[in-house]
Amino acid sequence: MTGSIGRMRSRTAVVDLSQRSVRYENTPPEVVRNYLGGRGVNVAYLHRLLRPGVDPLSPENVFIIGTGALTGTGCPNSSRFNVTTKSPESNILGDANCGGFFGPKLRYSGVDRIIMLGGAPELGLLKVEDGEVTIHGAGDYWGLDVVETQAALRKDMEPSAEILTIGPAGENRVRFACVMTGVKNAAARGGMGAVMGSKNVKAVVATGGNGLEIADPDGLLELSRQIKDYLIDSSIIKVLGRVGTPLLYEVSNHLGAIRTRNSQDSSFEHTLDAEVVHEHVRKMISCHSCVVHCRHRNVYRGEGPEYTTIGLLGANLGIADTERVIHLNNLVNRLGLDVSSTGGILSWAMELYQRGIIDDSTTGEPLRFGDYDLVVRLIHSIARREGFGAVLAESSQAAAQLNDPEGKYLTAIKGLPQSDPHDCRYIKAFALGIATASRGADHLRSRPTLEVFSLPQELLLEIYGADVDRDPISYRTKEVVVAVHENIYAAIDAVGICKFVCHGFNSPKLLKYEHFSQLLDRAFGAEFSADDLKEIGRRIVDLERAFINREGIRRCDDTLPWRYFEEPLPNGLAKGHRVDREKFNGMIDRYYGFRGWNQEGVVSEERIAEMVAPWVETGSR
Amino acid sequence: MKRIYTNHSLCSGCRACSVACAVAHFGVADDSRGAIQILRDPVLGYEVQTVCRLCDDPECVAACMASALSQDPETGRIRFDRERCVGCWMCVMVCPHRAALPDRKAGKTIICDQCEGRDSVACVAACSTGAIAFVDVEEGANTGGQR
Repeated sequence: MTGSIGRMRSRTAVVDLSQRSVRYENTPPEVVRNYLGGRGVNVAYLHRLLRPGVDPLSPENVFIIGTGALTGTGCPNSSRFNVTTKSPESNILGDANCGGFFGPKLRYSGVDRIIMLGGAPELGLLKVEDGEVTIHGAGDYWGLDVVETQAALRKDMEPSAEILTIGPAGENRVRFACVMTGVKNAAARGGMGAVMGSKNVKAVVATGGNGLEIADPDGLLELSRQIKDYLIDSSIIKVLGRVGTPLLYEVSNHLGAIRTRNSQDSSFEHTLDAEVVHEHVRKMISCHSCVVHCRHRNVYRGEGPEYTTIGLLGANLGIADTERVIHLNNLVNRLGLDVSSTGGILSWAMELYQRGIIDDSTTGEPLRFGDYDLVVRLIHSIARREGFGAVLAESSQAAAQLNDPEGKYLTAIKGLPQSDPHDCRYIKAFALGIATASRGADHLRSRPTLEVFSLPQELLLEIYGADVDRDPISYRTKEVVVAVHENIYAAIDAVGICKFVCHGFNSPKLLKYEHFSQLLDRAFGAEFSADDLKEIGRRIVDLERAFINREGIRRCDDTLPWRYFEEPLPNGLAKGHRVDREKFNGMIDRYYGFRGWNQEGVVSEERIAEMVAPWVETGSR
Repeated sequence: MKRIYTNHSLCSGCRACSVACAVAHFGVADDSRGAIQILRDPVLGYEVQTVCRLCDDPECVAACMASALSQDPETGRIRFDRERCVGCWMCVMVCPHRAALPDRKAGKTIICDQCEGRDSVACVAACSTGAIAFVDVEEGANTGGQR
C-alpha cells in the first residue's frame, strides 16, 4: 500500500508490569498503513508479541488497549477503542470494542495504545497523563465495584479523569469478566477483565493534557457537521435514539427467534418490549461525540438495558418482570460481568438441572427458570467465585463439572457463549456469521441481517457487489453476505467509530468506506482510499484467522450449537426452521473459497508472510 | 445582542461541542480545551453545559490585572487579548458560571468568543440534539434562559 499516513499519531506505551518499566514507541507507519488502528493494529501487535499456546491468565499473555484512528477527533460517534488479548474464556482471540469517554481521553492524554506485559507483583493501576504512563499501587480499591472504583479514583486522583476498570469479577478472574468504563460501557466479551485481573491491574486512569492535532480543522468541522446532519435525519437513528436497542427484541420475538429458556422456546412475553422498558428510563444519553444517544439512564441508578440484556437475562432465563430484568442488568454491570455469557451460562445450568443431568449435589439448590432470587444469588457467587458460582465462573470450561462434556446444551461456539439473543436457526447468513467469527459465537463481527428488510435486488447488488439471494432462509451466496459485513465491521473497529452509524449494521444507508476516507484526510491529512480501507478490513479478518489457526482452530470448530442443527424452532413465524448440516457445510466450503483460505479454514503461509511484512520492512523488532 | 443558550434537558452529554470549540480555536481535538464544557456525572445522573453568559459588569473583566479581558459594549462579548494574558487565572476563580477556564497546556485562559469571524458557531453546529442555540438575547429571555 502506498500513500502517507499524514499527521496521524499512533503512539504506543509498552508497560512491563513485572519490571515496573514503561517505554514508548511510534507504531511503524507501514503497520498503520496496513492495519490503521484500534482492532487492526491491536491484532497486529498481538500476533507479533504473543507466543502460541500460553495460558491466558499467566503473565506471558499480552494485554492491549488501543484507540481507533479517528477516536477522539470529535467526528460523529468517534468514541471507540478495542481491548485485545488471548481470551481465558475461549482460549483463542479475545477482542472487545468499547465506547464511552475513556478512548478519547486516553488519546488526549498523549497515548494511543497501551500494551501490558508480565504481571504486577501487587495490585496496581496505571495513570496516563501528558504523554506519560506511571504505575501506582491500588490496594485501597480492591473489592470495589465498577462504579465505586471510578468514584474513588476521581476523588483521589483527578475529578475529570476517565477510567477503565475491572470489578470484583475481574479481580477473581471469572472467565467472562469485563473491562468497563462509566456505568455500563464494557469491553465485555471473552474475559478481558479476567486477564487484566490476572495482571494485577485494577484500573487505567486517563487525565488528559495533550490533545490530538488536527490537520484541517475547518475541513473536519464542516465534514463532521454534514455527516451529523445526514445521520440524525435517518429513521433508524431516530428510533435508536428514542428507545435504543430494545426495539430489536420485538423484531426477534415477532419472528419467533428470541432465545427463550436456553433456546428451548423461541418467543416470550411482551413485558420486555421497548416501549415497556422505556417506562423505566429517565433519559437517553451518549458516548463521546455521539449523535444517536441510545444509552438509557434507568430509574434504578444504572444504565441500560440493551437488547442483549433483556434477551439473555430476561427471556433466556424465563424472567419476564421488566423492573427485575433491569435490576439484573445493573447488578452485572456493577460487578463487571459480561451480560451475554452470564445469561448463557446460567440458562445452560438451568436446562441441565431441568433434564436431571445435574442435581442438588452439584448445584446446592434447585435451579429453575424464572427464579429471580436464585439468579441474583448466583450472579453474586459467580463474581466472587463462591460455591456453585465458582463452577459457573469457568464458563464453557465447566462442561465436565456440569456433566455435559460436549456442551450439547450450551449455546456457544469455540467456547464463547452466543451474544445476540437472536436464535440463528432461521437467518442462515447469521448462522454462518457466528460460526466463523474470529472470537467465537458473536454477532458484532458480521451480523448480516439486512436481508430481513426485503431490499430491492439492485440495492443488494450495490451493497454486496454480487447477485446475492435475498431470501434469509436460503443457503445460497451467504458466504458473500457474511464476508462483506465482516470486512467493513473490521474496518469500522479500526477507525474507532460506532457500528450504529455505519453501513450494514442496521441500515445500508449509513457511513461507508468513502466517509472514513474523507474523515481521515481532514483529521490527519492521511491518504486512505475507500479501496485501501476495504482491504484493511479484509486483512484484519485474515490476520485474526491466522492468529486463531495458530492457537489450533480448524474447520471442525466453525460449527453451530447442536440444537441449531437438530431441533426445529418451536414458535412464531420461524417455527419449524433449523439449519441443515449438509447445506451448512456447503456454506462453509464456499465461505473459505471466497476468503482464500484452504478447506480446513487455514490462512496460507504466503498470505501470512504478506501480512507480517510491514514489521519487517520497517526493521521494527 | 446574541447569546449562546443551552438546555441541559436536551443535552445527551456527548461533548461534541467542547471538541468542536477546541478544534476551531486551537486546531486540537481535546474536550478539556473547549470554551463550552459539559459537566456530567453518569452515576448521579446529570449533564449540564457551562458557557459564557455575557454578564453585565462581568466579574472576569474586573478581576483581570493584566487588562487581557474587556467587554464589547455593542455585542456584550468578552474580548480576550491572548498576548496580555499572564495565566494568573483570577478570571477562572471569580466567574460565577464556570465559563472562564484554565488552559493548562498554554498557561492562558479559555473564554467564549462566540466564534467571532467564523461562518458559524462551532459548538452550535456540532450539537446533534438542539441543546445549544445562538439567539438574540430578547428571544432567549422570553424562554427564561432555557431553550
